Amino acid sequence: MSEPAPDLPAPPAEDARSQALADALRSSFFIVKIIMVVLVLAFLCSGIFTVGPQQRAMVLRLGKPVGEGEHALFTPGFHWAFPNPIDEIVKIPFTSLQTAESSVGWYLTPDERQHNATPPNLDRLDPATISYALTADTNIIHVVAAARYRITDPVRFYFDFTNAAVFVTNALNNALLYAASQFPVDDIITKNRIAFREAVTARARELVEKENLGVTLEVPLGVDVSPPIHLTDVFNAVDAANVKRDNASSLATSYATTKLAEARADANTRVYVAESDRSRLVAMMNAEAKKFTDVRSEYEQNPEFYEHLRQMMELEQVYKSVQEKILEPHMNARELRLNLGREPQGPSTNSTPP
Amino acid sequence: MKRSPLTLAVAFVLIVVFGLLLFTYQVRKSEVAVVTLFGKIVREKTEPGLGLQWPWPIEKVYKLDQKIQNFEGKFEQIKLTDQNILMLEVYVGWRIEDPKEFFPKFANGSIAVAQDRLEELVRNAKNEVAGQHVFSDFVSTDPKQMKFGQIEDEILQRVKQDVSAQHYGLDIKFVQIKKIGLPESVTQNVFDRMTSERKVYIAQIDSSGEELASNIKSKANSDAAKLLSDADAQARKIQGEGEAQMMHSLQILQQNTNLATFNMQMTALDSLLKDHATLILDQSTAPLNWLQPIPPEKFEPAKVPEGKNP
Repeated sequence: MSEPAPDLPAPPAEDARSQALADALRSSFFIVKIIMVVLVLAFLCSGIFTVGPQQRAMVLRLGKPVGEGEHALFTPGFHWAFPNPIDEIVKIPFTSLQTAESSVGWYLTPDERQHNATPPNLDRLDPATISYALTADTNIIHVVAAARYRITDPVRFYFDFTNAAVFVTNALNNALLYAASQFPVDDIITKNRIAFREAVTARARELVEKENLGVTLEVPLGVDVSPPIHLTDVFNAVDAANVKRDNASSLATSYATTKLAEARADANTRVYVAESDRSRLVAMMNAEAKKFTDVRSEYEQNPEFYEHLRQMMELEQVYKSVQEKILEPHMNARELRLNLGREPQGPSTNSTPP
Repeated sequence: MKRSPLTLAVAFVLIVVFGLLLFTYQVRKSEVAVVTLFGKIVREKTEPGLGLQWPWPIEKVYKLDQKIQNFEGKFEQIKLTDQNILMLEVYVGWRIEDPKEFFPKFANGSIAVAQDRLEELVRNAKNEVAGQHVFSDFVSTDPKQMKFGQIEDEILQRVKQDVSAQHYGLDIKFVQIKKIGLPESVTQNVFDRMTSERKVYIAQIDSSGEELASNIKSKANSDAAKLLSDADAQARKIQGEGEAQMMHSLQILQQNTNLATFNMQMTALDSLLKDHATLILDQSTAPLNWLQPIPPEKFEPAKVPEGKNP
């Protein structure tokens, strides 16, 4: 007889727990793996970057620019780079035109100009607070320049200067002082403003190129000038005197033009009359000569008769053509009165006197 | 114990990253780096890229900005050779040239400290250079006398020399004048002079205007008189030409002056009585004489000779 089989031992409770733990770990590792994959993908995708339409971008790989010159600049659109800290994306503003305005030379600061502040009317200027320029003839004048410029070398502009825009402004400041120091005040304000502006522009361009700021100035610069506020009245008086002189000159020129035109007309008339007289006299004399030749033989046959005949013929013509004939048969017996100042005869009217 | 390849890879990556963070450093474009070993400079890195270092506290890396800095000096008075006083301000473009020299001189590479020192150098150079010039070197109507650019170059060279002599590790790129002026008390004198000059100028303009107008009118009168004079001369010439052309006719008429005179008198009479004339006639005027009453003794009509007026 066989012995009854002993009962199978129950699975140890530790194995079940280990199994559950193993399963849980397996599941956790799976989730961790997924998270890691996601993180790796997110890490790689973080290298995608966009460059806007008014931007350029440079990639610094471990601090060193990728590419050289123009090839170092990424144009607008989507791009990819290794994520930080391998690559660093540096975006550079690249607007079409930048503006700059001089910060010295004017009686108001740029901020005061923007807020339309009232200019100070002082009989002396503290150069520490009120800026101006000195002209070649040692006068004081206020000047301001505005420039538009294009960043043609953004790498130079953004990576080689802490603030290249300040250097552009200072180039304008220097150009104003440099140009003003070579021009007399009247040339700057009235007589030769264009040459002054060109001198400012030339100096500003020279400095921008010399300092290699990576920009190109748009020319010509905008330049404004003003006498000191305290002397505005005397400068206006000069302008008024100039206007008065110009008016006097204009009137004199007008007089001269009229006078010469009248003289030319008069001269032409005199010449014309002379020519006309010459033609008339020559024609008349030629006619007289022809008539003379035609009647000479007839006349010489009987001069007295010819004269009487011609006289009567002439009288006939005269009697026909005269306007009024007065026949006075008894001149000696009666008084004849003539109104020599009579009015010219007008058209006859049929109106009857009242 | 079995390790999964992923775990190993992650561990490897983490070790590499940690190692890179500990043993390397980056120098960006426009930066320079100075590496110190226990506070002493051991090397520099002037090119952008990756550099190696021992981890802190063994070595320490200092990064310096190598961009061109803008420094503007103070607006100060300078006495010139001709005893004039001028106020001048310059701006300077400078950058770190030698980090190993620059770093220890300026409080571990402080830009602000460097600019404080630079201010002193620039002030000295500006005063010394400008003090050797006269006022007309700065502003002049004569371009040959102007030394504006030369003065800037002289200040630049002077600052460069000082910086080089002091071994500051700086490179002065340029020095330009930013602001120029006169002491406040002098500006009042300038205004007074400008006012008096304007008044003289106005008087000159007024007188020149009158003179100009007078000249224009005189010239016009003269030109007009000349035009008329020329016209008269031409008229006389034409008249002479006409008389010359009439000579042939006159020669013909001189052949019988009585006839010529008679003809011309008739022509003149015709012209005289052509228009709007009033003629007063009496009975003795031919042919009205024929209207006189016939005396009875002459009832028979008188025989008038042919061609004769009564």
